[in-house]
Amino acid sequence: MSEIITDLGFDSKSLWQPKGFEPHPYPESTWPCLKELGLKRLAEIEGEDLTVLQDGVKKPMAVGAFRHFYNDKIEKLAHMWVLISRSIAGGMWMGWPNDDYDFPVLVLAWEESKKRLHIIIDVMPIVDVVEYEWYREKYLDGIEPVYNEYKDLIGSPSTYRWFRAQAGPYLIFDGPSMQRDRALQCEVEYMKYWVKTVQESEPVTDEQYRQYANKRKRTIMAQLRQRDPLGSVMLRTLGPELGRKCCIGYT
Amino acid sequence: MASMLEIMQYGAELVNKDEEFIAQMAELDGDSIFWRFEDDQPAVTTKLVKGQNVVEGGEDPGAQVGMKLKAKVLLDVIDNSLEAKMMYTYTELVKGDIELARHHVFALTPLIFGYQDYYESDEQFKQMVDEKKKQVAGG
Repeated sequence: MSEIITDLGFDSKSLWQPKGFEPHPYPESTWPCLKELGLKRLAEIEGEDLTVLQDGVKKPMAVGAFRHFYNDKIEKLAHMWVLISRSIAGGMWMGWPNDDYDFPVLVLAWEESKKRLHIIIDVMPIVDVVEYEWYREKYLDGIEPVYNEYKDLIGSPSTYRWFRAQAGPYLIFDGPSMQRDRALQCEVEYMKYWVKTVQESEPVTDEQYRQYANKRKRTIMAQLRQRDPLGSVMLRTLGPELGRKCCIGYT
Repeated sequence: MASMLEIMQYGAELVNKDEEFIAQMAELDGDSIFWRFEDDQPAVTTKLVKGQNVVEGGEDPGAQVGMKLKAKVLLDVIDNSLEAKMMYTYTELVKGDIELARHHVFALTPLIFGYQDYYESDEQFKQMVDEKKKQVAGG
């Protein structure tokens, strides 16, 4: 039997129902983009069993499920679909290259409530794109037509300076409460672009550059693990053990 | 004209009786935040005590987090004209740091969502909030 995962196992309506609105079909709109990657289930990271998250969580303030994948190029690709306090639908995809590759990080967030939508959409470089301008040209500039089509979705910048420092030049952040269909389509387009960069990527051969890229990638991961507000929400809603597993799963 | 304390207490009593929010708050206990209002409104402390919201006057010295903000900012959150998490943008932390604030203020999520629900469904609460907002805005 193949280890390749072909079914996400849930859709936007099968796990929970929010109060007062119907969330956009985030899992089922994004998941099909990933099918060509031949993803396998990642059951453990850093000695932490992730299957308890993948089996689904049901806490007073949070209900939902997580998925974690990998393949021969991707170290981890995490997906979250949870309902917070019956009022906020939280979706997330975050994907990282393994240490043999240097393609950008997929950063997609979807936080939808009756009156608001908050999004984060980025292909985040793991190296300095001023010092390594070829990286921007190779991995990032191809998204520019999509960015230009959807840049009207950009709202107020993140209040977190560390996050602004990490972000790529084609970040789309916040704002589009009344443009939910377009915002979802933008997430799908960025995901398709990321999948293409993964498929076309080749192993890094320059050992010095490889060490630099991996060191910087680990620094980004550590900052996210320590500082991302999603982490503190998960710790609070899921409790210390499940919350820690959640953070390890996507950072 | 109701004070901020009276408004927050009135709303908290509604939330504390609401089955949906009772379930969400079941595991919450011990979070204490004081609200120092800039616009001549007396300070208020909100606490989670064994799954119930307790709203008291003044600044509890035992609070983990103290926030200084205009009363209008909280009222904007209650009437849903300001996204709750944007409150930080208009808030100065006078006790605790952002990590502590994120942790403890998140415990107020059911209370805040409850305030927003009851602003729409409880005429008296809506009137208290609207009148106060006019007062603090100078309207």
